[in-house]
Amino acid sequence: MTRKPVTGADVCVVGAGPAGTIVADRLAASGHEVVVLDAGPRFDPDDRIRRQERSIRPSFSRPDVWDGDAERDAYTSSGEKGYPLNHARVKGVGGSTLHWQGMVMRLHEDDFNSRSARGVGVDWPIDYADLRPQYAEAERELGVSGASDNPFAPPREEPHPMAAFPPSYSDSLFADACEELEIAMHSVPNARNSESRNGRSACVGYGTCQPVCPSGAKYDATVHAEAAERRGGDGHRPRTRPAARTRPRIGRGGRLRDAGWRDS
Amino acid sequence: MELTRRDATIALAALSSGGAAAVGLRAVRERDDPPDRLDDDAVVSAMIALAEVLYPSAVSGVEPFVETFVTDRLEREGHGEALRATVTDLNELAVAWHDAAIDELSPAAREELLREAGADVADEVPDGTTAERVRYFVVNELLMALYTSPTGGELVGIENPQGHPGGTDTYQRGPPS
Ligand SMILES: Cc1cc2nc3c(=O)[nH]c(=O)nc-3n(C[C@H](O)[C@H](O)[C@H](O)COP(=O)(O)OP(=O)(O)OC[C@H]3O[C@@H](n4cnc5c(N)ncnc54)[C@H](O)[C@@H]3O)c2cc1C
Ligand code: SF4
Repeated sequence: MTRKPVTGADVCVVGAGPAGTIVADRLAASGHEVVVLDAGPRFDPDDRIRRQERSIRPSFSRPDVWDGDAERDAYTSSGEKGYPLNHARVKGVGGSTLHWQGMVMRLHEDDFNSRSARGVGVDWPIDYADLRPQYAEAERELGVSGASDNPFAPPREEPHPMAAFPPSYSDSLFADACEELEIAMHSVPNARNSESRNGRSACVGYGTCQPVCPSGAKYDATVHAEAAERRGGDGHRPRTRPAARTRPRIGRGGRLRDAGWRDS
Repeated sequence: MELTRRDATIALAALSSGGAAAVGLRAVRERDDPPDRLDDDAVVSAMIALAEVLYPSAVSGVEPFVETFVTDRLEREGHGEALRATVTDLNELAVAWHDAAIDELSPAAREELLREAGADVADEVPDGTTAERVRYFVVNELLMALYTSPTGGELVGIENPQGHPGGTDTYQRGPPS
């Protein structure tokens, strides 16, 4: 086991999914030295097409696509209901966005005031209006294609960063049926490039976004892992290091003591 | 509907290096003393002969399509060797049961051979029994090649089959009427 301690890092981010890598990128941009640790490997982008064949062939299961390892990723469910955790998560730089669908709807205004509006849940201390600028920023970061055709969506100030994908042939079949039944139909914003953007390809229609996009048109958090790394590229602060396996040690009182890691 | 070499190239681009590379390699290495394998030309003609009975009769141009596809797959690390081993095993069964190599059998006998080998009911398993490997490296391999190609997709009314980067305009079209 090789340990490569990093001394003097300002921030250690554990987990290179979208939450961790976007935070790391932001911190790195504002001059902090950041270390990012992840429990899984850094996947080679050139292997994605091979992973796609696994997603199509029946002899491979969903966790096989991203090298899930039932032994490494053993877990237990308490209570009566089991949860297929290893089908839901990907362990590695990029996290679960490597196999997510990338539909990114903003919450409705009522979601923030559920108790008052619907009589269930709680009212949050923030409103949609408070988060609105952050939503717009997140959509720019991920690269979202969408239309403003959703009568139920909360108001937005600006259009989505990219135009929506045109409706499919099967959408046209549903459109007729929905019209007859007076059901409103609308598009859903997608973190998938309808045009090439920031060095990433436009969608080429492989149709395997979930569980793997070989072209990189679908957003995944490797985008921000790489962006964070580039910011540290000159060898000065900030520095980031997407790494291999991590074992955060939790000290008394539930506080993180340190995070050891080793190459896998 | 005519298959072309271009269809094969497109299917190959979609599938690139074999999904079972590592597994296939293990299946082969477990044998201490690998028996004689068919050479690549013999594997290609056996696969063409088998595709002729596996593919729907509406499909023509099978020979150049399978030749292009299989020649490339044979070169893929791990996958190629396991494919060669599996076709060799199936060919041995053809000789034992029908007294002739696969590409010398009548179409009816080729179909019978696949059933006798159990490949019609087995699930695909790259390092499994002969039936499971024939299902993986022969039957599903050939079907996957066909149905990730534009012509194969069109055959079943899918304009943009899964695994084929047909562009986003393809899914806006309905099936050919
Ligand atoms: C099939 C599927 C489809 C989905 N589709 C959508 C969708 O359409 N729209 C949407 O909004 N959401 C979708 N999601 C949900 C979305 O992917 C997740 O909410 C999101 O990825 C969570 O981000 P995260 O950064 O919190 O965690 P994750 O992306 O899960 O990343 C966690 C990272 O932490 C690492 N890690 C875990 N433990 C340790 C440890 N001890 N030490 C070091 N590293 C560790 C893991 O290896 C992993 O890389 C989908 C999810 C799945 C499974
Ligand atoms: S190219 Fe488009 S359709 Fe294909 S997997 Fe990526 S996002 Fe999905």
